[in-house]
Amino acid sequence: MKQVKILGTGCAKCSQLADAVKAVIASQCIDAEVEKVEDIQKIMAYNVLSTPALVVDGEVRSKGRVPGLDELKDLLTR
Amino acid sequence: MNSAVEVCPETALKMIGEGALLVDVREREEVAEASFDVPGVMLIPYSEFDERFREIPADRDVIIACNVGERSLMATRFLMHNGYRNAVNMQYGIVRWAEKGFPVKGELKRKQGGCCCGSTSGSSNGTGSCC
Repeated sequence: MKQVKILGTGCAKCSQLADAVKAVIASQCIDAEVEKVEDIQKIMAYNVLSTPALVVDGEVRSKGRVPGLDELKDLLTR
Repeated sequence: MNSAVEVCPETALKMIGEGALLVDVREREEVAEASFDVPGVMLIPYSEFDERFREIPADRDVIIACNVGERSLMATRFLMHNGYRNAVNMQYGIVRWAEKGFPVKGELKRKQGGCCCGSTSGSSNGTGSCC
């Protein structure tokens, strides 16, 4: 099972990314567990400052933006 | 991690006079409108900060500044997390700096914060700040 984390301090874009990730996971039947990380100390542990960021299995795959659905599909399945 | 040290614009100006480095983390379009008119100011946009922060010398006193002091506070904490012991945040940003009559190039139009989401217009609530 993939471990997916959405890093963000709770802004609108962070929620937008979380919703989009969940939608892609559902539509593609991806076996994944999604967790939102809002604690700034935990976010910085990934050396990320610009949020929202997407982390898949411990690897930061996007940051500072909300990727489109097609790109998200790629980021979640690669 | 300890809290970030914060200084007012007056203290920041004094520190710059004593050799501290001012790092402006506002985005390019903000800097194009108005910028700190001090020698040697370093520009690292917040949206690029986590990629470029190593350009900041770790052995100098460093003052991080933005528009109103919110993004710069996050950037200061980020630097502290990465071992920078001499970084401080300038409270209230270039807005207060300009209000104090300290040197600014250009005309300051944006009086609100930027966004932690890597842009100056990422807010959905119209306040200009989303974090």
